[in-house]
Amino acid sequence: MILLDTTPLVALCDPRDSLNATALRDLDRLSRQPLLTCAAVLTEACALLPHPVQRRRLQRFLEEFAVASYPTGDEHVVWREVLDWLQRYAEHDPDWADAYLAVVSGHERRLRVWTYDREFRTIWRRPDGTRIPLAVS
Amino acid sequence: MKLLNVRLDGEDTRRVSELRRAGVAISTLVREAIRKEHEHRIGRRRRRRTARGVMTSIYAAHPDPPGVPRRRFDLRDRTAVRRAVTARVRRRRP
Repeated sequence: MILLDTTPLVALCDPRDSLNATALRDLDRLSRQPLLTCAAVLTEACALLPHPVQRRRLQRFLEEFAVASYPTGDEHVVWREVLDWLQRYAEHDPDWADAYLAVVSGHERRLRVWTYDREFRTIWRRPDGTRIPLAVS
Repeated sequence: MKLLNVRLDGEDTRRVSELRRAGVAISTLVREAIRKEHEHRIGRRRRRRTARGVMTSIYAAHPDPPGVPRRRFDLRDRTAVRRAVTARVRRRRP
């Protein structure tokens, strides 16, 4: 299962973005697996895709690739864990979406996060301190 | 044929009773719902062209109209991304 971060989502929905070619190449490889994302990522994506046509492409992408919402179960529990994680990494100034992906990566061990953010390789870890499995190198 | 048992709460039990009274066969309804969801989640996936082909058709169907500004920062630049998101949150609506 692939958990989508904001960077590939925005790159895929903006063909003029410098990461678009990379994201398309990765999509060809990863789209055979179930794709998931979360509200925090979609919120960031919409902020970075402000034009209606960009959001229409986002909608079409979510539909065509049957991107599902990550099922958290008890969202309140996840919020608490996300806030704890944000405290732990406060010196690196993380965002909610970073924390959310790191926390749910710890919940579901089969998840691999698809991101182009360096921090997922270099700094962010799951709540138990282990590395976050990534979908792209 | 396999038998599938589904637990229902009070509200859904009431709905099922009303549907039966309206002449709906619940087993047919369930089979249709399963087929529809399977087609949506699995069937289209199996028949899919390459992912790149799907994206190309999306780009063709929804091209940028003139005047859509190009993003001037790298999406991997967290500071620039945060600045853009913050600006969007703080924007003033007319």
